Amino acid sequence: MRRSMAVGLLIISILTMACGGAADVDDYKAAFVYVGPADDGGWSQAHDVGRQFLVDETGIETAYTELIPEDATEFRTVAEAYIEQGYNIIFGTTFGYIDAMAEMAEEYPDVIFLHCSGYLSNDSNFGNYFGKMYQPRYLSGLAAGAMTESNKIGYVAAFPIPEVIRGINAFATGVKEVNPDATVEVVWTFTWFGPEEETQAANALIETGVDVLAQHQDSPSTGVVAETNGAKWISYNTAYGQEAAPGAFVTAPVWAWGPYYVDVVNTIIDGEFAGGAYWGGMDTGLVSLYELSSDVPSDIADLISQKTEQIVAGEFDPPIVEEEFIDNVIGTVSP
Amino acid sequence: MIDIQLVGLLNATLQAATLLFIAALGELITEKSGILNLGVEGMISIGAVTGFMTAINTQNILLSVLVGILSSSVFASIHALVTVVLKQDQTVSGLILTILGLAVSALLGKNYVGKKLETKLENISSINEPSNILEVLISQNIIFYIAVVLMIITSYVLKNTMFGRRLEAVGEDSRSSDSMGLKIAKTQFIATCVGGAFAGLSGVYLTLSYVPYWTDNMTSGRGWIALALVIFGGWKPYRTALGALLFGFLEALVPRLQTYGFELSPYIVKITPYIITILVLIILTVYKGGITGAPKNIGVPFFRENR
Repeated sequence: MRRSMAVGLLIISILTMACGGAADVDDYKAAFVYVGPADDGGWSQAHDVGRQFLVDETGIETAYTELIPEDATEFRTVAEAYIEQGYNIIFGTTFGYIDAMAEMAEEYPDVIFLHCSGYLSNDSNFGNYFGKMYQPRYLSGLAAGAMTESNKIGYVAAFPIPEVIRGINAFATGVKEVNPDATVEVVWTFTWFGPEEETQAANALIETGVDVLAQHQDSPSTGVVAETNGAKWISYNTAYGQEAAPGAFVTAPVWAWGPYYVDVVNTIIDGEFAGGAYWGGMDTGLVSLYELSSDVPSDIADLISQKTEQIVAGEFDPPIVEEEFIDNVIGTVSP
Repeated sequence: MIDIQLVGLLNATLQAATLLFIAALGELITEKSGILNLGVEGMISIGAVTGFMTAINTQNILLSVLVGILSSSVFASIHALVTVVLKQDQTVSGLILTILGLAVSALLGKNYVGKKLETKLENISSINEPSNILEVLISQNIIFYIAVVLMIITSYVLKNTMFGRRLEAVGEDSRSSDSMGLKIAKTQFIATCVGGAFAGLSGVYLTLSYVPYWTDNMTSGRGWIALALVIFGGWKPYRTALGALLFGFLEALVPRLQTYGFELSPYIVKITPYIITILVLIILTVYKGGITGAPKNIGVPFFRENR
């Protein structure tokens, strides 16, 4: 019985080889280019965790280069070195690589380029990917609305661009649902990563009387301010900062790139990859809400898990508003 | 009784100003001796990370401050060695010091990213919610008062002591100073290390009080603003302090203008320090015939043999 199965497998494999159709994982090597250190505890680390997941799941050979500035020449140098070494899937994980990736996709039609957070793609070897972060942000708003006692919530935000604005609105939608009296006050820092600017912004919000702080920033400064002032804090990116502000940490909308990386690499191996844009929601596991801290009231925790199920099942999706703030947000989208 | 937001603005101004001022004061002393050190950013970073590491490991705040000051000072001695002893280009050496300092501190701090600091530099009095300006002034962090004392001492030393006179003489005219028997290399070496020590103090203030945790690139450009401050202050301690207050005020104002509901673009507020610095230089050039206060020999290596 066993022998006949083995013979059968052998025949099948010879047949597939003869047809020359399906490739396998050994034909591909994937290279990742990061803007920050691979262990920055935030954005780039989330991608590197995804890369390791990809290796564990598929066994594909990977490599990465960290700290590559958002600069066309820098990216090209790194990517060309990888292509020379036989890497044929290149992941660029920050917005600023966009032009270099678009150009290189034309120059190297046999190499697949995947760009995170961009908007350019073609229908053969260049795709972009991102996640519906507004979904877990909405869920974190439910927690924030329930936990504020002063009915004032602060939001330290990076830049007034659609991605950030729709995150704020989704968050405020969640807040409004559990606490119609609460407001969300926004302060822009005009930096993705700026420990001093973020500290100043968080302090300014504390002075207006907020007792819950959320953020769209890459450093845990806001959390440290919350911890010092006895406020609560919704983190971002990863559960980064949980250790720096254990008393303030409530939860965090987080990225998990691993499942997407496995999917897209499998699609490529199967020969079905066709470029295009990918925008994964909570149903794909790309974005999610980190485990709630124990001080979230249990009825709210239940509400959050119920809403999570609805979002995952596609029965509910928080509204996407990117042009202006909804009515319980204090601040301006074009400061 | 004044508004809590106004108190917050004042507090934040003093915090941001303290960080900038201490580093700028150190650079002022270095530049007075004729040595330009563009490595302020790197030196602050070294002080910040070593102070933070010591605080996490020993919980001893005094030791942490001393370690931060000392390591930045030793780090600055690299610049002194290259420019004073080996007489190499000061601009290049300073820039390398910045790049090296940021890289070394990132390497040293790898295992300390995101750690919670248990012992912080505490505020000097226990007024938790100051309600007037006086209470804000007496409830600052101990480093703030040290900065004030350093300002007074530095100003006195520069104006009224032999050391200050020699320092200025070396920076203004090293050839004549050498003829008068002053030890150029020794003076410049000491001034550079003192500048490093000040930057180190500024660094420990950053990670032990102002933004109490460690992550790569913590300084995010404050060292460069400190360099601009020295020019703004015309190489005078009190005017530099005034500049630090102004720059600190603007930094504190950016987020607060938004919470006050003003529609002024924060971009404009953010570029103001640099515009002001350029304006000051232009005004001094036009009305004072180019006397900006800069030491005449700044950036010029001293070779005794060159005549």
